[in-house]
Amino acid sequence: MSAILEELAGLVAAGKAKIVPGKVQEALDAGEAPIDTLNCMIGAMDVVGERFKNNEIFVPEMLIAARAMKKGVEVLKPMLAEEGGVNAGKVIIGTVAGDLHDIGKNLVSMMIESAGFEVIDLGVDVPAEKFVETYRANPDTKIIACSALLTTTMPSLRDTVALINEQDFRKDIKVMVGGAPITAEFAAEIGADAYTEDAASAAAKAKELVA
Amino acid sequence: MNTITFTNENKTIQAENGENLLILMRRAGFKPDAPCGGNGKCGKCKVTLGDGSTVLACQTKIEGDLTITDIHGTPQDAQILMDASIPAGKKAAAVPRDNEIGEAQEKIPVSGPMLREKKVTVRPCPNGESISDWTRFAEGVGEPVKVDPRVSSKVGRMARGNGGTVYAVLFGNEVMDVYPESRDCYAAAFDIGTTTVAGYLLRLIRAGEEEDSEKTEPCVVTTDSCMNPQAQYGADVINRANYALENGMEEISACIHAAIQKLLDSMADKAGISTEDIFLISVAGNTCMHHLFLGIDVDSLVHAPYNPAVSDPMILRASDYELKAHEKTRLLMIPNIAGFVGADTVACLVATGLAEQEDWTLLIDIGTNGEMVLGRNHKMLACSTAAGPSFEGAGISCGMRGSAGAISKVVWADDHWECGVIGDGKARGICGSGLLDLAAELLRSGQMDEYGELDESPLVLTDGEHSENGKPVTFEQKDVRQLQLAKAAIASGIHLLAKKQGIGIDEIRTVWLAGAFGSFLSPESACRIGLIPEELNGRITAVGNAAGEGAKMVLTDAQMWEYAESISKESGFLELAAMPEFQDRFVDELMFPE
Repeated sequence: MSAILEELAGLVAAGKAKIVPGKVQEALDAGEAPIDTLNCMIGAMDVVGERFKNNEIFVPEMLIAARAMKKGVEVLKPMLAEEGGVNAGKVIIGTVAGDLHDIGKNLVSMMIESAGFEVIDLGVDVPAEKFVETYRANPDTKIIACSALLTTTMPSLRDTVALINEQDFRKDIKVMVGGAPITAEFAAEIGADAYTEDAASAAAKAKELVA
Repeated sequence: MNTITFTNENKTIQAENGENLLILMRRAGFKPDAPCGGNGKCGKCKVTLGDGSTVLACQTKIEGDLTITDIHGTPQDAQILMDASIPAGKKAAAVPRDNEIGEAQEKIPVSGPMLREKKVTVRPCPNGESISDWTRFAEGVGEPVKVDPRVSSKVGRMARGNGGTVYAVLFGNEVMDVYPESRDCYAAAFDIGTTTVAGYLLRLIRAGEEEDSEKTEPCVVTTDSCMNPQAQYGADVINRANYALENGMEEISACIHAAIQKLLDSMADKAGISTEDIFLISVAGNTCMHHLFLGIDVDSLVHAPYNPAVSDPMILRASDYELKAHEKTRLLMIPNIAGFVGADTVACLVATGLAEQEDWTLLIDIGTNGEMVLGRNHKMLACSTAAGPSFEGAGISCGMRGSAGAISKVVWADDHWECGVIGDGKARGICGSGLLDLAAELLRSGQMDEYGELDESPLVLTDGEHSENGKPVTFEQKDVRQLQLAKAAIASGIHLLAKKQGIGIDEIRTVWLAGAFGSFLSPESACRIGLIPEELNGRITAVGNAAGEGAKMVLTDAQMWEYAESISKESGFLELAAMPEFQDRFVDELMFPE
């Protein structure tokens, strides 16, 4: 990796959202390919995710780094679109009906995006039907990911997954669930394909599910 | 008999020779701190005597009259903040309002004191007529009152046996009871917090007042507090609500009713009165506590959009909620604003008169949730932030509540940490105010960068040799992260409220911090770490338990009760989670100011 990309990776990992876009531009001006620049940042986020999994860093740093990455990607987006970019597939993500919490969901969204997916983020308080409708509009979707942060909205997560499970397209997609009160047992019980404990594992799991 | 005078507490008790001062203090209801049980070891029951000397109460035998000027120790659970210190200035004024309450409530007083005593002359029924006791009593009252079977059953006989005179206790157009003599009448105010419950007993009417030319102001005669027993069903409102949803309301409601009853009993006991002399009870609490107290379904509270089942003020019968006081005691439920901005915030607004301020004023009540209101001139906007319990010590490796043994002040003295410990004993952990100081000092001394990265982790504040339990009090990198999350939640709330009100942070002239944490934290440290924007440094005042103060105020003056309703309706609510810029702002605020 060139010195400038190494520097960029360091800046992303440190979450320097203000400096990252300029550094991306600098890298491009120095002749780095957009795709290499993106991969450099994805690599940095992988490291961040790994450190998070190992309890070396915590949610705040993840959020800060993920945002720095996002700022960098914004610079690259027009160029990547021209090149076709990297696309591991589409992921529909949202916090289930009755729940307005989205920081965890956003983190997963950013990590999955960093892993090369195209993410359709439906936001918070998403009715179950909305997940289904969005799939119908985007039949190339590979994964639907649903989040519930409150103990009190776990039933809503159950209903959402139940509705998705009834659909004819169910065999073509994977369903991931997550959120603070969710467990792997609960995920299995309600018929989801995967549960991960944190955002970094979610990104890795998503890659694994579509591989 | 000897007279023991407590000058600070304004209380005098009688004691026999040879009685133990500590036991006397307990009997007097002072809750002296004596963790060692009064055997002279811990030194916590220290008192200052009139001649300036200090003695241990537990080691002092009464041998004559004694004056105690200062009781030093306060027990751990007395960390529940009872007092308010509302800055002088423009206070709440009753707001004219339309009287279209429709079928809603029975009419309560529109102005003047909530509870009144009236000396009533009941003329005898002339022979040859058959005018009812009630009618003649009502004539004597001289204003329209609601007919009451219980009062009518005794008023005739009472008047006849008393020279035609009875004393009626009135609440609006309601006759609460009649008595042959003028008497002291009381009310109780409660601030039901998620963690603690504070109770205040107020004397609203003094016996013989009507004859006195000078009216006595309502006064607090005693207070008491306890931990909220609902904590056994979950420490935070979400878990408690969840318990209620899964297991029904009954148990969780009953236990708070029992706790309130216990406080009623103990306060009546301390004041030497009967609970039957308590005619009004007011309750302030967050919306979840409010609903759980009344046994109202909390389903809507914990599902988006998190609206309350009911926000309106309510005047209910205490007996319907298992509260034993006077048979007709009324329960005044202070109104809510939103699902996560409840009657406690309304009570704070009543107490502080925020709506009346001409300059932009910010009220922050930091507990497990940080509720805040930004407003002026009746243009108020409230929000609630999920600060989490970090400031109460939860989730911090050596965190604890602000009670004895907690490090509450921290200074970096070039090569070591100097820690102030609550109770002046050995340190056991660190509480919220200590955390703020610590983070501020770490930033100042360059041992932590703006991203919250510590040079050294864990760092030792007090080593095992000097700590209370032989274990060092430490602070770790992950503790910084918890602090960042809590701090970012509050700070982004402040910024978004200001934005929504269309003002810059600098336009906020005054910041009022309500609650225990707000009273003990160092405003400089709070600003240094960006919990409160730096621009507001120097404009911050602690107002103490403003919620309790507001709960007391609605009991004394009918205008205040009306005022509570009008401001609860006036105040807007900002759902931070629904604001697209919340996430960005939150992440910005995770960082410390450079």
